Amino acid sequence: MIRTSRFDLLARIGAAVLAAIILAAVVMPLFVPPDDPHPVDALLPPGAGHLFGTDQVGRDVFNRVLYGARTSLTIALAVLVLAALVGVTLGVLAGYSGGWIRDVIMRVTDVFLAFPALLLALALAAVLQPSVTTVIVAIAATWWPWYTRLTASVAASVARRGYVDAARCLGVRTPAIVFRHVLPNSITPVLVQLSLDAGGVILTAAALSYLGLGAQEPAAEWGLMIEQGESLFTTKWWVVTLPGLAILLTAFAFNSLGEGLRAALDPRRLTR
Amino acid sequence: MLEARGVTIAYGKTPVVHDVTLTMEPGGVGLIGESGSGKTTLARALLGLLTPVSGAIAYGSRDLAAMDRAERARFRDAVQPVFQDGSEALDPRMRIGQSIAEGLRARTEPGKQIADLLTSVGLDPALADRRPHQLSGGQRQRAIIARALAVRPGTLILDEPTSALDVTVQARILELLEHLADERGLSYLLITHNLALVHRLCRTSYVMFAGRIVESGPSRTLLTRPAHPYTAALRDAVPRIGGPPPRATGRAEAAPRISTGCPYQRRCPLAVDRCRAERPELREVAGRMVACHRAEETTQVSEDQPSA
Repeated sequence: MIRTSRFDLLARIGAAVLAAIILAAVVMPLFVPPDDPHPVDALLPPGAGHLFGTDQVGRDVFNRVLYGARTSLTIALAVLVLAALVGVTLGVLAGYSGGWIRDVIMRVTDVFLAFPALLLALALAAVLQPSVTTVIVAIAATWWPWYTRLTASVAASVARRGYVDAARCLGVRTPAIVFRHVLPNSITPVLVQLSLDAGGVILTAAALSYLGLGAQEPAAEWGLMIEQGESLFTTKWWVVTLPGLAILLTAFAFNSLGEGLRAALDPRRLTR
Repeated sequence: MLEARGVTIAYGKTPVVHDVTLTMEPGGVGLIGESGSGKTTLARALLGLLTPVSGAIAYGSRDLAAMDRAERARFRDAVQPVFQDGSEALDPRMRIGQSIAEGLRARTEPGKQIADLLTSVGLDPALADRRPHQLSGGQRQRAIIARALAVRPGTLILDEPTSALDVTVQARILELLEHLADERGLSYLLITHNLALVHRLCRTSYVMFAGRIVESGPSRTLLTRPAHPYTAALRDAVPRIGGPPPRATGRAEAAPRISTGCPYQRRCPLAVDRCRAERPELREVAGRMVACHRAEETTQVSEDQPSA
């Protein structure tokens, strides 16, 4: 069905890296508890006992990075599910019904999109208690309008297709038309966008935590780890660099997968 | 019977169908015109998918806009569309059987009903499990017809039902439609840009240009002795083996914005000053209705030179 191309290689690498990260984030904590501080072993360089070295209070950085993957992936999943639920629901409503309903929904998304996303998330996170939940709510609140816009434009074109008219003529009720025809045929670009956005969400979450508005000590979170190790960067590079690389790698993996999906699901490339 | 009474339809402020009156009759009625002439918009109104700005769609002498829920449901079942395959008339994600099942009213033995419908349009019942992209164009068109038949309609609106198909498949689909109309006593509106199809399948035809009916009457009369220069141009656009190559008159204009005079004036080889000043109304000339100031002359000319 799906033709191969040079994009596929990158997408496969992305998928493999992501699978490894997810596996590690899910499986490893089953066997290894989060590392407690051991001040005696503080700031050991990467080596035999500690693969990624240890941080200021003597916790294993490898252990922390993997627990951080858990936090980051949870945040990404929660944000995307929340944003997609709200965004796609409103988008299908706007795209299928058209008229004033569409106008109202689109103006509301305009209001949200008028703010730079990070700024809006910052404001929200500052008002609420700093925590992982706050990060999720704040990012989701800035993210859903994109899905609304995307879904609305696709749903509007799906609503004009022959099978929708045919279903209306057969007396199929509007909710059934929306769930049976419009939604399934509008969702593909959203899925692609979700995988492309996951990296961005992880970056934003790390940024918020870095700024002190997200995960709090002793939780393991990549952004928080970077913030805490920042002053040591020139002397004890591993405390900052390894969580940073984890962010980079995860964001890259999601993006490659998303690009690959976009190329693969392009209707012009689907063979009949 | 289904009819349009003085129907005007607009998208926003742009009227695309002007004051169209059209009556269905037993058997086939043709609606002919080029792309952008308003045929499909009129068809959507006849299906109840669009509401006219003025005029009325009536079924069994009841105005569609005034119908209650039950009447409307009865209307919907009685009038069904057959869209062309190219317009994504079948949901690409659904199996053929699922698409057809949307129209089934009796919930008993849906599998058997679907198989019967597929058989009645000449398809193997096993195709119910396939998805649209696994079928050929002709098979898809048959499946679209089967879905329309699921609600046992009395009237079919056929919107370019064969335009996406190659010629031999076209002929088979037309045979099927003729056969079904005979067998089930269906009436149908055949929308096309091909006068030859209408001549074969419809006793009466309407010719539409720029949202207006410019000529209507017996298909045979329109094809052999067209009174409106536009009908003549459409007839001459049908290629015939051994005949002269088709010639096109004038150039296509998507939405002619002509406020005074005849909408066809810019493309008409016969246009005179009167055509630019005064819009011709439909009137009866030589056995058909025609909106052309020079209809008397054109019918005279074509009677002198009978068409091949």
